[in-house]
Amino acid sequence: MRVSATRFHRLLPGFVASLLIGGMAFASDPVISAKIEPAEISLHQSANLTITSSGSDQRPITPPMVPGLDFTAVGQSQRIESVNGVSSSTVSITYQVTAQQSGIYTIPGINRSVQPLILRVDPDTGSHAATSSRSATSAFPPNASSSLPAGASHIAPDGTAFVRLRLPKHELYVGESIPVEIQVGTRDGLVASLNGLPTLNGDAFTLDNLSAQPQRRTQEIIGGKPFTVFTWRGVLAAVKPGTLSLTMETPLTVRIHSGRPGSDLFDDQAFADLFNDPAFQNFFGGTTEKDITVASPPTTFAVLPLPTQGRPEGFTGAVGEFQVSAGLSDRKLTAGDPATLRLTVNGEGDFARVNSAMLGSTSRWKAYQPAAKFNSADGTARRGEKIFEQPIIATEPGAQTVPALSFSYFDPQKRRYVVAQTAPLSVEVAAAPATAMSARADQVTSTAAPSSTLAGESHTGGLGLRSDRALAGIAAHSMVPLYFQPPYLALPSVLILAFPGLWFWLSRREQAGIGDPEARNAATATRLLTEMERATAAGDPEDFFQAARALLRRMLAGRWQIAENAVTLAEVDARLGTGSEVGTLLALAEEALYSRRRFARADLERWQRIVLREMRQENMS
Amino acid sequence: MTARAFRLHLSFALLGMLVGAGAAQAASDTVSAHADYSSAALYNAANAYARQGKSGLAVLDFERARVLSPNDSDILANLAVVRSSLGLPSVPGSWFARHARWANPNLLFWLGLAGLGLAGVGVLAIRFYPRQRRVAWPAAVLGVVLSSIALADALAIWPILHEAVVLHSITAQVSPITDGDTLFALPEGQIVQMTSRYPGYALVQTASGQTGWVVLANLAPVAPLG
Repeated sequence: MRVSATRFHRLLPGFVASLLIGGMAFASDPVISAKIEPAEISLHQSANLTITSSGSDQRPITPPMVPGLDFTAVGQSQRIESVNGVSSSTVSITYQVTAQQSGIYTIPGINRSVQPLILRVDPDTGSHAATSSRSATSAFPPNASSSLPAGASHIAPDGTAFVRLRLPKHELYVGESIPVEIQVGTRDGLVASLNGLPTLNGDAFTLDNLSAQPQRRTQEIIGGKPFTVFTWRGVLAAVKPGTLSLTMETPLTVRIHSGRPGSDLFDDQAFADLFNDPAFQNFFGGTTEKDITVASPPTTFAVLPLPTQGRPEGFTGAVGEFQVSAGLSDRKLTAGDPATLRLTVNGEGDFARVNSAMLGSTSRWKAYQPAAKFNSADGTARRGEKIFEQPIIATEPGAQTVPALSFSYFDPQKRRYVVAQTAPLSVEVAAAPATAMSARADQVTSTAAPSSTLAGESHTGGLGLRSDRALAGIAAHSMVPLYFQPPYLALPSVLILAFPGLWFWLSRREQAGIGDPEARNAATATRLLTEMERATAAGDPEDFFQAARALLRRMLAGRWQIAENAVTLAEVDARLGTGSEVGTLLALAEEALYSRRRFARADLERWQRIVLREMRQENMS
Repeated sequence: MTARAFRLHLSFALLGMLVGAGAAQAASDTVSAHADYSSAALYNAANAYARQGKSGLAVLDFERARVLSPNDSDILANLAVVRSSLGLPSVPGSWFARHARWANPNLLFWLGLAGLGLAGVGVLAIRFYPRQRRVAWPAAVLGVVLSSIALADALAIWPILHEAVVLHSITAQVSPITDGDTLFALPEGQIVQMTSRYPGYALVQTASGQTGWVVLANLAPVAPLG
């Protein structure tokens, strides 16, 4: 910081005044304490914040300002004591605190001697009696030091907060999961609330199993300023190889100083620090809240692809360090009775990728679909055990062996694939009673059938279940019906789009006179009929007779199977006899064309009826 | 196009659609040995789970088997037995769902697709080949009927995409946190709708409309993705 002499002289009076005012304020600082009960409420419940001020010099108590929280004074008490002529008073004010939305709120200390308070507000559900009695500390386990190396703390430019990552290493394989600690430091008194969980900024990584609440809350002094550090734990994994970087960010509401006097006095960093001090702000007031997002500095990783060489068959993508063991629910079985084959995979890694096909059906063992459950050994589900349980049935009596089970994974420490195998299990299988085997083999009706079942159907077991069946039936690669699988959903969509296209194409062909001759004839006939009707209505004999003659010639050509231009008046007279109505109409048509003879509208209508009658007769025939 | 050519083309189109649908179904059957799910295997596994007392898993596999073979009397009977032993109503589902789902949905999908093709070809023929209406009208009507059956099946089966079976008796919570307040109990084998998710938790709704958060590991979706 460099301040010129002239500027220093300008700043000096203000600085001295600030020191005096600040000194007076600290000299007469009363003893203030605050507590909130309960520290955990549901959305539409309220907590009581009690602020107690005691001492000889009392100042008015004002409620803190926290975005999202409303403070309503509900009670005040005062006690005055006089000891050896020295009187002192204690004032307590109780505020009812309600929240506008759920979340974790930090209520800043009233002065520097008072620690910030935490209020947790859960979503409203209508029954929250049990939660209300908890204390705030239950959300934060006792402080514990982290085994992870500390990351860099890049404090936001306004000095209010920082986000940093603690990671065990910066080189990992695709699919490898590593523990991560995300630490959000908030400057005491300057951060009003955390508005959400830390989020990952970058599509090359996944962040899983992040706890809804911070795992730890600690205090740190950074650059001489106190910070409350909230720590979340999660599991980070990369989804693609390369040199990749990520950042984490957290939304906050910060309280910033406002209403600075319009002087460049406060442009100086030293004064900015002074006026941004929470104690100074609390004393002078004049703060406003602002929502900001604080991000961690970019952290770069070298993400290595899993090697293709040496990849074992059946590798399902598990990356980590695992051990396997197998067991059977009973070593003495009866043929046909189910037993449970258990494969336990324990260790460290992404257990979501740990899968096993277990035992396949053989001639001696009938195996069913396995089920898996996971028991986490830590809060992030990165360490633990995954247990696969598979019902199997021995089909033959005698000394049998359950084959060894194998599980393959990639070990990032050894940088190679590992195939772990269990030992084969020896089992003594007793022969099943003849009736039971018979029932299973032939699926005959059980005598223990419940009354609700139908006659002729077989049953097994004491539950009244109908018996197993041969492994056939309807199969599918997915339980999601084809209707809802995008590739298949495209098929009806294509059809639905294709038919309008075909309609349009056929319409164009029809208009161009291409395509079905019958349809073309029908279209021509329709056009001529329309023209005839129009000419009748307009009293236009020339157009009427031309349309009528064309219609009749097309009709007669079709009827007599001759060319249309062969349908002459002589041909009509020869086939229908002289003086027929059709012959007369053809003669009139020629007359109307060449002699311009005029016709009454009634005549045109009569001839129109004759043409239509002829056409109906033609259609009926 | 002459009438004879038209009839020839229409016949080929119909034949192609039916053969296509049949071939698809046949292919589905032939790969049954390699398929991930089979109604018979699911049914047998459910029986095995039921005998071992793992009723939640039994209900899950019966429900999955019922998706593939909705009218299989053995599946329905055994599902009713297990649900009854858990104190649950026999077989859930609305009247519409019970009647619209009468065959394997994948078969109905192909039939519906063939029906859509028939309806489209029929409508085009009615408009552009009026002489062929005697054939085109029945084809269009048959197509509409097949498409409607498939559409009804799709609508009826839609809820299973969000259905899950409660594997162990659990309680639903107010909020998705470790020590959240409890709201109501969910018995093993109960079917719920998953309406939302939060890391490690799912917001579920019961048939009676109650909602609450439960630990995701205690649920198994009837129709898992992938």
